[in-house]
Amino acid sequence: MKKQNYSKEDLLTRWEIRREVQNIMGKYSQSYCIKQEGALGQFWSRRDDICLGLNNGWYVGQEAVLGYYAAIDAETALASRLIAARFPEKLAGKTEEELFGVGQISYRPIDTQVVEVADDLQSAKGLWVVRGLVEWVTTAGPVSFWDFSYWAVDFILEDGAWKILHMLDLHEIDKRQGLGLTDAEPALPEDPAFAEMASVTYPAPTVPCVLRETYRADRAFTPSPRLPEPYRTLDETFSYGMEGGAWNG
Amino acid sequence: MADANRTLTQEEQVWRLWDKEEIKDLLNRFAYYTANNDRRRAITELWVAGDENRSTASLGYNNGYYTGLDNIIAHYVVDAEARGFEALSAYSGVAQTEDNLGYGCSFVHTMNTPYIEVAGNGRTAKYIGYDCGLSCIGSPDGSSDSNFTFAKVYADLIQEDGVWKIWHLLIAYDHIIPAGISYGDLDPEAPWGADSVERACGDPTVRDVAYDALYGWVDVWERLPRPYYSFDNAKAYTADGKPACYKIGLYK
Repeated sequence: MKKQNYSKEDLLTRWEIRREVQNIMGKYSQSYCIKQEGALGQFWSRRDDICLGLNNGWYVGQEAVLGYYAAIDAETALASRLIAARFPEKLAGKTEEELFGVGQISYRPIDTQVVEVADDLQSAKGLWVVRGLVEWVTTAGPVSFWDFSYWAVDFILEDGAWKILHMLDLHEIDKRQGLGLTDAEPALPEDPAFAEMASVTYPAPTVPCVLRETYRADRAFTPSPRLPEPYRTLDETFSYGMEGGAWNG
Repeated sequence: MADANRTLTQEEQVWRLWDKEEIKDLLNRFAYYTANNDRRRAITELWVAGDENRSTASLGYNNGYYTGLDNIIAHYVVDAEARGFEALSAYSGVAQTEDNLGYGCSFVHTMNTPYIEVAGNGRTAKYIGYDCGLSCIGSPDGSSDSNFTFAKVYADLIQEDGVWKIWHLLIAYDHIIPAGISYGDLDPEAPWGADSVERACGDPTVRDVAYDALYGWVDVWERLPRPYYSFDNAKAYTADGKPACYKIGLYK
């Protein structure tokens, strides 16, 4: 769009929308960082056609998307309890609430945003790179991973607030640290204190499918999700949802 | 210089706000297009197109500058494609076609921490950002040459028909570091991966020390955008724009 074709009021409105959707994803990212994935549902639309696309498929609808976040929350709670038991000299006497997330981090900062606001001001689209590190508590204890991912999001205006309608969270790299990015990950020695982590399970995606394979030396070249382009209405452009085909360039 | 002290109208102030959004968008798209091997598109959509600006366009790396858009295309598009075919040739079972370029590879480029100054006359702008990226070239045996890349990105932008375009770009690598090695094993005299940097930079039109990572602390301070009224070639992110690192003899 050429700014010369818009009034200053129109440009300011669009600037505020761009700021708002970037703030939403900033808060989304920070929620990971402080292990509050269970609260991520607040950023989503109340519609029942919401969908979250991960490398292994789509979580479709309120129950599936919120169920996925609840599973992360449950894993955090279990890991916190086991870490507290493993380090009683440091953590004894703290409440369950104080211990929640202890010794864990999901640092998923975002940058390189490309945002487009619809001409009708009822929707917006954004693409970001995640370049982070995530520490998972495994049956071997805490283990750190590199995380390079793409977040691609459709936003809609719902009762005056910007909400996520569709989101792709696709890992390009999800690799244990200390290894080359195509090295095999040798098994780590089990720590009996964390054996209970073997019980962690996640709900299967509503629609299992391969949206993106993480990097391998025998993988076809896989670009980022499609970049947002100027558009009039959400119905007239591609979407980051199941029917959009935008997860792979 | 009467114009330099003129108070901007409200409309002009909003345009300045919007200018910075457009410039961030421009550089961010450049990061995605480069990582996606969409390099011709990057040239067509994001770089200058006017005859005069094409002739003065510049793409710099640590070891010098590609000058003029034709030389930039030869390096950034044509040579990159040739390197892609060279990497693909290792995979004898994969058709050697343009569609398969990038097979076994992963590239990620980012632009974070942007800082922008728009000229007082509104015609040009200066940008600094940082690219924390990834470059992986695979081999048929399943291994890969995987590196984390770290580079400052400086840019002079110019408006053509009211649209911001990349005019001068300087990609100053701080490190290209292999993933999965002990950093204590790196060469202490060249911990940034000098060979990898040289490969990434190629053979520029003007050979020069455009950036030496040993003196990054001087370079960043000197090259940071500062408020300015009109473009000054002596401060451009080109072979003509020499920061103090040269004057005090750090860059030889």
